[in-house]
Amino acid sequence: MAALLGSAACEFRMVIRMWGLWAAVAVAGIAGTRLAGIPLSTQLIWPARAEVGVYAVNFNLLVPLIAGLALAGRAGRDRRLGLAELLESTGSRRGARLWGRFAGAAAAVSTQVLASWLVVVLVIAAQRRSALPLGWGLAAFAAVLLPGLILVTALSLAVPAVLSPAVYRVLLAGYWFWGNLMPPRLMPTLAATPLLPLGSYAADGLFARDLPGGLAGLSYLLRSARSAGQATASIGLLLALALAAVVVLQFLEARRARAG
Amino acid sequence: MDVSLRGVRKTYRGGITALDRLDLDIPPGMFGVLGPNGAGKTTLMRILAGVSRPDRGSVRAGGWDLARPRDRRQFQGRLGYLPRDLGLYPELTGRRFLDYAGTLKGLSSPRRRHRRVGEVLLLAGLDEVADRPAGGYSGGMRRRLGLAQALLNDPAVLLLDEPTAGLDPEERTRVRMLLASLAGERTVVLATRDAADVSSTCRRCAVLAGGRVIFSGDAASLARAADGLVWSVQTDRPLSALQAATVASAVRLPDRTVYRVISPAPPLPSARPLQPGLEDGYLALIRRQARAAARALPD
Repeated sequence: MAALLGSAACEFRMVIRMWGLWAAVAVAGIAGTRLAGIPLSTQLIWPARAEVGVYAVNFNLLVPLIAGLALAGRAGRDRRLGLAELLESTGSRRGARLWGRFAGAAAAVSTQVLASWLVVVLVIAAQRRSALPLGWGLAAFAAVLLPGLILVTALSLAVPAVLSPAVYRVLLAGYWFWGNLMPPRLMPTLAATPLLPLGSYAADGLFARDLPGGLAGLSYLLRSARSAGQATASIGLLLALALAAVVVLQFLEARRARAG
Repeated sequence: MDVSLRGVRKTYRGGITALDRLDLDIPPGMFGVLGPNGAGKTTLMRILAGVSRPDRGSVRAGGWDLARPRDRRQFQGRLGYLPRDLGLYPELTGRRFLDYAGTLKGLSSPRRRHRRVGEVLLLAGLDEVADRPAGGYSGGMRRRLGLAQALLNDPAVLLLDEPTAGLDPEERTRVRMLLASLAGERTVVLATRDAADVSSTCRRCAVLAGGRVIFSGDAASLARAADGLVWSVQTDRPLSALQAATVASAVRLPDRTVYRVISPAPPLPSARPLQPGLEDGYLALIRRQARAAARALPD
């Protein structure tokens, strides 16, 4: 447990100091919310919960992609820096260090995203002159923003174990635009499935049920699920995929160590 | 703690044999492992540190058999290891890095860990730069930070792979002085290409060549391997005249060069015999080994 917590704290300290990531997340998140293009007069007649849900999906349009690009290959960083041998000799468990690294990276990037998202939520609260959006904002962070972020963090640690980080970055960008932003009528895409890391299933099922036609009435990006059960299933699926990616990475690292 | 290796063999991909039926006993105290590049020193250290497994043979440290994962982990709890190519997280300060290493080495009490980190920083002479990011450290500071992390858990066995490689003379002396203060009750294994590291710190040593131990014993008896073989030659002729000999050192003067050479016979009629040192003994052994290997090759 000490190795897991120590690795998480160490990784958190390193990722939280990625100042460029703070800036990129803030710019992409806030720019995404401007894309919502919803007139203030319309917003104010929606329930606060629905408005926060819509903004959360728009905030998330590029943020997980940016986080994924920044975190690509961090699991192999110890080897590249020449630290892997030293860490291996400490007698700490490799798996504990790996899960700690995942937890620390996810926590750090989530902190950066939360900080920018809270700015958006504060603006909504100010427009409504109500504290209600703050609570919904935190709930939307947990249900809409966080699962996709955790999945992308896990993929960015795991996939570069078999591909170079540069190739992974290209593939991640391709996957992001195809899997999230490509209209399903153009080609088969994940955008119409609960595997959508954008978070629109959760936003629609948990936040926008009161809107006529749900989120789908607003944009093709905001797929209509209209069921809290489906929303929860989507969140569970994204988290399960993230955990599976880290388990696969753990297996690959163990195999590499045995071969050494 | 006594460490012993029996019949250890390690072959890498491509059929490169790094260690070949290696037997070695390492007693407590400072123990030097000398050898040229490719002799198998780093492979030996990696196996002793438990980060690489031998293909064959056994490695025991104290009562632990390093082939058993549980024993290996327990041994690693009493081990300090400085790898040859140690990198650092450039964005972490020296103190933060040591704090992390301490956590992994089982120093779970924050108060105890912070105190120990302070102690090893002082010992390594890094206390004044401890809160600077390690990315800005010089090569010598990095090696001393590596030594500091190896000492965090007050190890019973300390493995140091080329601790002075690439350092300037001042840093090298500083690291050697630090090494000399470390042995005490510990087993300190110092792998190096530089015989001066061993002569200034170790009473016992081994010489590796081609993945085998070609000498193991007192450092003084290693020097005796060159008895009657060391010569001082002063000449203004080019080095080719001394081709049959191994040149240990050369000092260029305005009108001539003074060579210290290892040779079974005087390389020039004017050669003067010299008292051998540890480096001479090492070079004589390596020379003998290289000749034996050349003779063993098919025509």
